[in-house]
Amino acid sequence: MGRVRDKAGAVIVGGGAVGLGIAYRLAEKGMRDVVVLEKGYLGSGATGRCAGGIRQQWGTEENIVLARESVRLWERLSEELGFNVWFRQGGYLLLAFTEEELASFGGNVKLQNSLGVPSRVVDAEEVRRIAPAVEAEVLGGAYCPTDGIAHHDPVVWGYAGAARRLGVEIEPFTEVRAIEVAGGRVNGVKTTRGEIESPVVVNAAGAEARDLARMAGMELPNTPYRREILVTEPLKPFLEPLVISFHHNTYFAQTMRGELVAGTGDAEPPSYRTDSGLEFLERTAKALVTLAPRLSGVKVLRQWAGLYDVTPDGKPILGVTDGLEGFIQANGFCGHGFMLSPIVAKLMAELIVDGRTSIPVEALNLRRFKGEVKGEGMAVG
Amino acid sequence: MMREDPRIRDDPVLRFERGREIRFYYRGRAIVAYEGETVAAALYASGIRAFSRSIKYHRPRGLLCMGGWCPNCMVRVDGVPNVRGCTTLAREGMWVEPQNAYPGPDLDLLSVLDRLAPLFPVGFQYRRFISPGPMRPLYQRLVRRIAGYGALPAAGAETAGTIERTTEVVVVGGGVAGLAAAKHAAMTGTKVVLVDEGRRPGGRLTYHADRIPGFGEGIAAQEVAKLSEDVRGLGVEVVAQATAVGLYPGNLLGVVRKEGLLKLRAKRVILATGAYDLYPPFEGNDLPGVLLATGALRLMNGEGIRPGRKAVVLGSGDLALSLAFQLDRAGVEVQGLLEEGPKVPGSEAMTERLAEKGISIFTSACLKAAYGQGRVEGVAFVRDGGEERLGADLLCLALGLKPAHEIPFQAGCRAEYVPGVGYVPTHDAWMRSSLEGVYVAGGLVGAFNPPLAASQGLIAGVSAALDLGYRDPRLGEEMERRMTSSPGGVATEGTWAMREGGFLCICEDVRYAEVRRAIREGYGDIESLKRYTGVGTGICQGKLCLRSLVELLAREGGKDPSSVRLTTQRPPVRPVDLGKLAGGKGAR
Repeated sequence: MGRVRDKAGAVIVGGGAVGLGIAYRLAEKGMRDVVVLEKGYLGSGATGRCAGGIRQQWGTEENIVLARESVRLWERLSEELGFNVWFRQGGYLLLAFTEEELASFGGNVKLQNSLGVPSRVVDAEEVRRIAPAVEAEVLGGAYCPTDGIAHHDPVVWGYAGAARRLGVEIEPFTEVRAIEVAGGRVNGVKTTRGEIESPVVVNAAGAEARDLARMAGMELPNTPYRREILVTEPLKPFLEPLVISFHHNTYFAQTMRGELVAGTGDAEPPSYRTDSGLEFLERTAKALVTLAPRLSGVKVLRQWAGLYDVTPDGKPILGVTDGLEGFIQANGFCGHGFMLSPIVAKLMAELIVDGRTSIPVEALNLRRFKGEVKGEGMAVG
Repeated sequence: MMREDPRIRDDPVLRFERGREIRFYYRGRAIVAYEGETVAAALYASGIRAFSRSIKYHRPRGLLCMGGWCPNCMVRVDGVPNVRGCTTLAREGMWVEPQNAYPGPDLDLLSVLDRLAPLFPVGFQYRRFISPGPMRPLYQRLVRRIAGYGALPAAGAETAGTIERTTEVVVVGGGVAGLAAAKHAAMTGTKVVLVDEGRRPGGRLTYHADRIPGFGEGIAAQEVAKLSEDVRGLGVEVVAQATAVGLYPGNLLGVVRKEGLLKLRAKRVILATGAYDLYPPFEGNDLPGVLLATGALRLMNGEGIRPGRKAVVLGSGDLALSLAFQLDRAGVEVQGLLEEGPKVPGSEAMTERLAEKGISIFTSACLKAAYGQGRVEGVAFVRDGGEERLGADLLCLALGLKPAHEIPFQAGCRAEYVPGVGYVPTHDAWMRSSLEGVYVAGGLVGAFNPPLAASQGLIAGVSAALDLGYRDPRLGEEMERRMTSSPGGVATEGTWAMREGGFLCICEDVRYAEVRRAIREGYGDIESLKRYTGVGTGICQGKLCLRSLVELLAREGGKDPSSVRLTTQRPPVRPVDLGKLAGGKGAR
C-alpha cells in the first residue's frame, strides 16, 4: 500500500454507508478528486453490523421527512448503483402493549400521514394478520407498508464500486491521525499513509465522530453506546415486516437469507465496546419467545455488536461547522444512519458542491445544541 | 440399501452394548434403530447416504463430522427444524423429516440449480434481480422461498430453566488435556467442574480403538476412560452433554445442555477444546461418502456402524495409519492410503502393521478427485505422471487437525500463528493465555499428540491451582519431570498442497474457484471476502473453511498465512435454541 494522494477536493472520513454515499454523490455532481478514508475494511463500523432496517415511523418532523425521502431513494438505489442492495419493503410493525403506547402511535401516525408517509394504526387482529408469528397479547400497533430492510454489505460495495467508477479514491486500512486546522478552516488531514491537502473534510466517522472532531480542536455532543445484535439459523420465510416492541425494547426481522436478526437495548454506560454479552442473549431470547413463542426452537448462530453514535436529542448532526470552514458533519445518527444514508449522501453532496440543500436541514446543524432541544422519542434497542 | 448388516456385531476390541430395538419414522417410513444410537447413525445403517441438500445448489450432502458442528445431517425432528441428526439420540416414535429438498434428499428437483451453477457465480445476487423494478417483489419472494433450511417450528418448545453456578476452576473440554487438567487441579484440593460435549468424557480419543505409542498400554479409548474414572474419583464434577458456547467477561461461561442454560462463573478457566479435522477443498470433496477421520471413527467405534465397504484414506500420518488399521479390523476393505509427499510421515511400526494386512500406501500420490453419481464411487489420483483410480464408497480425510479456537478468540485471547498448525492462543510455559485467569492446553494450542496434550493439561491444571493459592508438594517433581522431558513434538499428518477445485465452503456452497475470483475482483481482505462470498457465514461459522480461506488469501497475495488475520470469532460456538436462552431462573 503506497501513499495516499496529496491533494483532494474533499476528504471523507468514514467508509460506511454515509461516507461512501457522500463520496458517490459528490463524484456524481462532478467532483473528481474525492478521497474516502476508512480505518478498517469498508463497512467495518456500524454499517456492517446493523440489522438493515429502514423505517419512516418516527416522532419528529425532521426525522420523518428525512426518512421519507430516504425511502424514495432506497427504492431506486439498486438500479442507480447497478448493484442489488435487496431493499425489501415488507413494512415495519410497531406493537402497542399499553394504552399510552397506542395513543402515542396514533399521534405519530397523524404526523407521519401529514408528511406523506402511508402509516396507519392497526388493531390486534390486523397485527396477527400482518405477522402471524407474533402471538403475544397486543392492544394493537402501527404499521407502514413502505418501510423495509436492506442488506448492509452490498450497500457498501455498491456505493464503493459506483464511486470508484467515477474516479473516487477509496482507501481502507488508512487511519486519520490529525486534522490540519488554520485560519478558522480545515486544510487537510494527516493519515497513516501520508498527508492530504483538502478544503473539505467530512466527518462521517460514526461512533468515532467525536474523536475525529477533537482532532480538529472541537467537541461534538455525541456519545457512543454499544448495541448488541444476534442472528439465527436460516429458516423458510415466515415473517414479512420488521417487528418492534418498545415495551420489550426489542426488534426482530427476517433477512433475505431467512435468518432472523434481533436485538434488545439495555441501559449501559457509554463505551466503545463491541464485545458480546451473555445477558444480551438471555434478554433477547426472553423477549422473542414472549412475543413469538414458536421461535423457541430456532437457534442463535452468532452474536456481535456495533456502536450507536448518539446525540442528546436523538437527531443527526448535519451540515457545516460554525467557526471551522470546510468541516462538514454527517454523524450522530443514533442508530438510524444506515436507513438515512441515501438522503444524507444526497444532501451533503448538495451542500458541499452547491452550497445549499434541496431539503432544509438547518435545524439539524450542530449549532442547535446552543439552545433548547426537543427529543425524538422513538428510538429502540 | 446395503445388503449386509452394517452394524458391527462382534468387535474384538470394543463391545457394543446395544439397547433395545426401537423404531422411528423417516419420511413416513419406519427405521430400525437401537437405544443409544443417534438418528444419523441409524439412518446411515438403514442405507441413507444423502441426508440433506445444500443451501444454494441443492447438492446431496452426507455425514461428515458426526460431531454436531457441520450442516450436513440437519433434519426436522418432531416439528423442530435444523436438528443435528448425529448428536440426537433416536427415540421410539420420533418423526424425522429431511429439510429443503423436494421431494427428498435422494432426488431433489431443485438440484437443477446445480446444473445452472455458471449462472450463479459468487456475487450473482448483487448483480441480478435488479430490473425491471416492478418485478423486484416477485424476485424477492422467489429468492426467500429458496433460501433457508427448515420451516418455523410448529409450536414453541418448552422453555427450560436457567441455572447459575460458581466454582473455582472450570475446565472446558473433557479430552486428554482437559481430563489431565481437571485431575491435577483436583489433586491439590481445588473445586473443579469439567464441562464436556460428549455423553462421557474422553474427547476424540473416546472413539480411538487403537493403542497410541507413549499414551498408556491399552487402546486410547480405554486410557481416556481410565483417566475419566480418576477424574471422577477425585471429586471433579463432570457436566456431560454440555456445550460451552461462549466465555464472557468476568470468566462467565455459557453452557448449553438439553435441560437448558447453565451460567458458570469460575475463578479460573482452563480451555482444552481440542481440534477439528482439516477439511480441504478438492474436486468432489462435498460428495456423500467423504467423512472426516474423526467422523468415521465416531460412526464406527462410537455407534458400531461400519462406515463403508471400500475405503480410501487421505493422509499417512499416525492418525491416518491407525484409522486404516481400525477400518480394516471392522471389516472395511481399505483400498489404500494416499500420501502426497515422497515419504510416509507416520511411524514405521504402524506402517508395517498395514503392510502385513496388504494395505498399500501410495506415496507421491496427488489426489485429483473423489468421483461418483451423488455419492463417492471412487478416488482418482496422479502418480508418476499417470492417473490411477481406486473404487471406494468411503473417503476418509485424515490430513491433520486444526485448533478449535473459537472460545479463546471470542473472549479476546491474543493469537499467534504456528506453522503447520494455524492460529493458536498465545500462552506462557505455565499455559496462561493473554487473558487474566484463562489457561489453554492440548489440541487447542497445537498439541495434537496425546502425551503432549496430557502434559500440557497437567501444567494448566496445576498452574490454575497454584494461582488460586492451592499447593500440593507431591506435584513438584511430577511437574518438573513433565516440563523438562519432551514427550514428543507436534504430530504431522503428511504433506498436502491445497487443491484448486471443489468446495471451499460447503455451508454456503462456495467453490474454491469462486473465492479466488472474488479475491481477484478486489475483495482482498479476509473480512470483506468472507462477507462477499459468504464463506464462513453459514452453519459451521468457519470451522470447516477458515483455514482454507486463510491459505488461499495468502497464496493469492504471495504472502505467508501468518500475515492473514482470522475473521472475528464470536459466540455461540454451537447454535443454541432461543428457548434455552430464555429460561427462567432455576434453583441452586
